[in-house]
Amino acid sequence: MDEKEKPDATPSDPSQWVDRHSDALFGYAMLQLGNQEEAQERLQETFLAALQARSTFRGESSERTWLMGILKHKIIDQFRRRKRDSSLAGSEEGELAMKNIFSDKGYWKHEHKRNWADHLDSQAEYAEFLLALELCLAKLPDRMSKAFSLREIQDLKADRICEILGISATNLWTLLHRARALLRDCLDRNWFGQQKQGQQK
Amino acid sequence: MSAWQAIKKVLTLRCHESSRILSEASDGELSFIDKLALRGHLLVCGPCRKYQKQLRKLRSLIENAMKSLESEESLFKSRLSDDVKAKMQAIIDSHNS
Repeated sequence: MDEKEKPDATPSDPSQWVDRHSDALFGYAMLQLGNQEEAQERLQETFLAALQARSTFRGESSERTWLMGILKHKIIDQFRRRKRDSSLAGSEEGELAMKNIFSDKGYWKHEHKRNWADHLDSQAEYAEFLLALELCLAKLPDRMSKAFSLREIQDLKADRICEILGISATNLWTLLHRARALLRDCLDRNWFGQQKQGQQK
Repeated sequence: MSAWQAIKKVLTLRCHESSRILSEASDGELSFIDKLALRGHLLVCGPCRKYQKQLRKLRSLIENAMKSLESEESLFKSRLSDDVKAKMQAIIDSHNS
């Protein structure tokens, strides 16, 4: 809608992009990709794509939001390209990992007594949380962490995720179920565990 | 699922199945049988109630963290080195001339 264009909208200034946005965008890519080189490549692609699409930036959303939108697509493209590499081996790996979570009879193997906050007080605490999440996600089998990223970090709907990863809905429910159980376990040990040390028995 | 299978599921649900249903509940609508079985299981199972709470909290923590990404300084500890940043900006500049 052209009439919406504001005459005083600040044009995006590419000479400031790295300075202003690279930390947030790189961190966001690292969280989902768990690999420095790949995150760096996706970020570089994002900036170049943004340069070409600069006329589409209207200042209606923030520059950060606009760039983030492009980066999300670059991450999805990478997930798509890799779908053939991660074959069935991943599902065996997942099954094996679940043996640490449930006993043969189907009960929880470990107690998780800690109370998690649903909201943190400071930026620093969120930074700790994101770091723990990044480390725990990186430990998951490949497809599991992709499924979780797309669902919880990118907030995509199930059918879109199935299409991106080339899997059935049943596969997706299994991947997400396992990812959540493993992440909860990992976070409980590595993040909340350290934070609430004073309250341990 | 036959009626007998459904009743059996409601009465004998174990934690590994209940946690799967909990996970599915956060992605969509549950079947009537699953809802019933889950509700019954949660009544008697503390660890699964804890899991349910922690899944909800995990989601809201991620949501909050992502919201703050839009406007504020980076919350992430992973950063690019100044050297890499300078190169990246140089590439942008060379395409922008």
